[in-house]
Amino acid sequence: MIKILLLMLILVLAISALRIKSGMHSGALKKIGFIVLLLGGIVATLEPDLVTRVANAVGVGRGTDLVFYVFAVAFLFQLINNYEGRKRNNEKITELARRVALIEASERYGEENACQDVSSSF
Amino acid sequence: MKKVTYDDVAIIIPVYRDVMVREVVDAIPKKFTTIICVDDGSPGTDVSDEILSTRAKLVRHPVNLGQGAAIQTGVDFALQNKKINYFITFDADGQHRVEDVQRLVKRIKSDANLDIVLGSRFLGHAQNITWSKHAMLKFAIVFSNIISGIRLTDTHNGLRVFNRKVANNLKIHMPDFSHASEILIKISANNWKYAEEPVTILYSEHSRKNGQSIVNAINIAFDVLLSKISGKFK
Repeated sequence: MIKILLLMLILVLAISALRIKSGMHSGALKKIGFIVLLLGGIVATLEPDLVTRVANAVGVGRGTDLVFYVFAVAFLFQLINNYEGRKRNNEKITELARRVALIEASERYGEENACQDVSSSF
Repeated sequence: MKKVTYDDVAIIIPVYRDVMVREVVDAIPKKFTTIICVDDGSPGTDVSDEILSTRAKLVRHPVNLGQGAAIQTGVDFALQNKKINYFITFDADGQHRVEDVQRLVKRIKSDANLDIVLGSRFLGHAQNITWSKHAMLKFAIVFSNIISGIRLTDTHNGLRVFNRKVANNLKIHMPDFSHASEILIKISANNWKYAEEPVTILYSEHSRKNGQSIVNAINIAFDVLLSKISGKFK
């Protein structure tokens, strides 16, 4: 039962990822990582003993622990990714808002402070 | 000594929800012809309307971006005016004295080598300063001096004057109050010639309420360290 549930979950994940793919500008490395994660998930679901054997090979006691470690690393990676993305977005918002503010002010005060090449000041 | 003129000087005042902006602008002598108030997206139109009713020019952020961004916008706006050679940053809460502004301008105009002159409350007098604020500022000074590699007696003073060269290359990226440390790091990285001038800070009830908190200081330290590590400054 759990196997069916997990496989369905992975399938949903894969489909939703395919849907947003067109709008994403993430790197090829990230996509490969995602596919590896999906495939790993399918294999681990169908063959739990394999995970334990891999875990033992790299010096981890249980397969569950290995899955947990991979999950933790993936989560942290995503956290950093998010932080970077938000910072980039904030910079874009700042640039946009500043541009709006300067154009508006130039309209208000006219020639003396004419909006010359604003782009050079960014 | 040659008489110092002030018509090539722009006073830039970042404003956020400050109700004192009219008093601050009115206290500035008429010989300062250019005053720029940047309303950093204060809610409603009260702050912008108040600025418009003074002789200051209004630049309004459509959304709140932080004090560093507001200063940068003010500098960008002032740069468009070719007459302006010197740029002053000035806080909106009435903690700076106009006499100090004039001394800073005289100092930078009297020495052609100087690119930037920074106000220092510890060379001058800090009135009504609380011991916790004093301790925090001293810590900020040690921290900033280590990070930026230049030695100052006061690193988080809102009063500064700089020339066009500095204004053109400032490009503040840090949000909030971290820009003070960012400016110092830029001074060091660009080898700008700097000097300190004693100024008096008037800690009123109002500025105490609106000043930097300890929590803020931790935020600043975190932001600055992070950008230092990721090599954002250049």
